[in-house]
Amino acid sequence: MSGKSKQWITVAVVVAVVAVVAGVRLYLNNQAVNAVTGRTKGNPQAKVKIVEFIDFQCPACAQGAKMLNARFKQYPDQLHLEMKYFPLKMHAHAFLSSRFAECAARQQKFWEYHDQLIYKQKDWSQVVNAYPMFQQMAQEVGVDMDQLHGCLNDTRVDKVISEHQTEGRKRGVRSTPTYYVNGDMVVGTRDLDKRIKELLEEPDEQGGQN
Amino acid sequence: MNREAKINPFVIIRLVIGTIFVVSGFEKAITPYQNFQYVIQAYRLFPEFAEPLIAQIFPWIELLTGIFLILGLWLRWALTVSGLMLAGFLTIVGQALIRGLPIGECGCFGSLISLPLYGVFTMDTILMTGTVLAYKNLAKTSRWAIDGRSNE
Repeated sequence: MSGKSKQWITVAVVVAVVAVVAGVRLYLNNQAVNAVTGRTKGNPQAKVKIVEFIDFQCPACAQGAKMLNARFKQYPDQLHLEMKYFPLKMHAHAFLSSRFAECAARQQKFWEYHDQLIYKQKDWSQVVNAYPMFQQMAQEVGVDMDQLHGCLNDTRVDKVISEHQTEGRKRGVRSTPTYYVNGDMVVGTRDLDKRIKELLEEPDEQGGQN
Repeated sequence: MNREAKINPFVIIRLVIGTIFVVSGFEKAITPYQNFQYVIQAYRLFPEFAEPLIAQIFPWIELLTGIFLILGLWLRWALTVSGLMLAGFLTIVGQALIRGLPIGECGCFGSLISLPLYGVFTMDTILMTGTVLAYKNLAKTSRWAIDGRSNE
């Protein structure tokens, strides 16, 4: 085989690899769905729109949620957040906490319950059976307990969580917390904070600063 | 028995290392680079501006090196790059172990396989040894390779 043939083979291999990876990426992007309803807060017309895929038992998610709460206090009209569930198998109580959160959402108590889960994460994530603690937190935020028990037995709740997970996987989510800031993927809290600040400090269309 | 037909351990080493790089590189290359960037951040070794660059470029190097090793194309170079990458992994993982960084799993294979840091350090040491052996016996490693055919 001549040196020239080897060079052609090399070019063909590189082109084939790039084509395969690009094809798989394109296929995965086309699979992404946006139909699942999320849990939202903030100004729907905000300059910075964030979609978060959360695992309530993930320590980095708690850190991110606390940072986001601080930013919401700082910029109440300029942020909008939509939450989607992404419980990871490695966390024993992640799926159950998502079920409780979804049931709280059905009683318009999602964000109160979200904060309970986040700020008390260290307590409930260490126990073997977190169910009683989740119930207690629900009571503390004023969730109707009869409705809650009915909701926890509703298979549609699991379906909502599974749909969020499927959507996340199709969008390329592999770990938590993963955010989409104005459509751009950001993984981890440090880069999220940086991105929010960058967007809020950008001059707006009229040329002023926000 | 034909000499070519005998089991050649160096070719097996080459194929194993190549396959590992292909699996690892492909998984990272097809998913958004931000996932790998997040993994890189956890090792707290690179400047912030370099993290997205590494996250976007490195999976391609890994993937192409793996394919070149499997095909046996530019084998000397592919083994050199393989050795450099593995030396880099051992340094990065080693410093994380020494510093006691809170990294639960290495992130080496994206979401496919989860390995603790000690596990990946052991695996990289074995792969490094394999790479050195394959390089030192390049003639034997080049059997069943495009390079080998070009020398015939």
